[in-house]
Amino acid sequence: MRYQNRVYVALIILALALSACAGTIRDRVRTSALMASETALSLDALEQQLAPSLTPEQRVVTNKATLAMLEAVRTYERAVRIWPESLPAMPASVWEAQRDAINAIVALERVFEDTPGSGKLLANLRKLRESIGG
Amino acid sequence: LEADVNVLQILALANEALTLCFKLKELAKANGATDAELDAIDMKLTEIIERRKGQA
Repeated sequence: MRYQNRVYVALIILALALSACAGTIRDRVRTSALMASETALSLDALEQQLAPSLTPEQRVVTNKATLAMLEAVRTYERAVRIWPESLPAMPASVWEAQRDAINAIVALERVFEDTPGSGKLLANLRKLRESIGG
Repeated sequence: LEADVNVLQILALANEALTLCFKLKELAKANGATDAELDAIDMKLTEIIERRKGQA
């Protein structure tokens, strides 16, 4: 009987611990969205520094791809921002925004792959992609 | 009497577990980004996006 009670207690503690952990997923994603947004801002500054060394045609392409990345990261941040606290699992809107943001980052990486002097920018893009989960 | 003691022990342990879980949740919230932080970064992103749209 005593053994059975201990099993019940262990199960209760386990269930409560799991519910506590479920709450932290949203918080972790919110923090990563904030970090990703800050990295996106630093990427904007890096691209501006690099822009004078690019041809006008290259600038058009990099500006377009950087703009797409910034908009995708903002959409992701907004989707995370409105994730209700009552919902323990990641909503579909966050998954979709995450996927779109990763695609935009990969597209920007491709644009800068062959650009001289873009090593720091590419390293930050990788950091951004990883912080989002890509 | 033994059964009553067991029930009381379970209740006491469950109460302690609940307190611990609430503390864990509060701790997790303290580590997560706040609405104000996300709103502030959203504004910065929007400013930069608008600036870039103006450049295009």
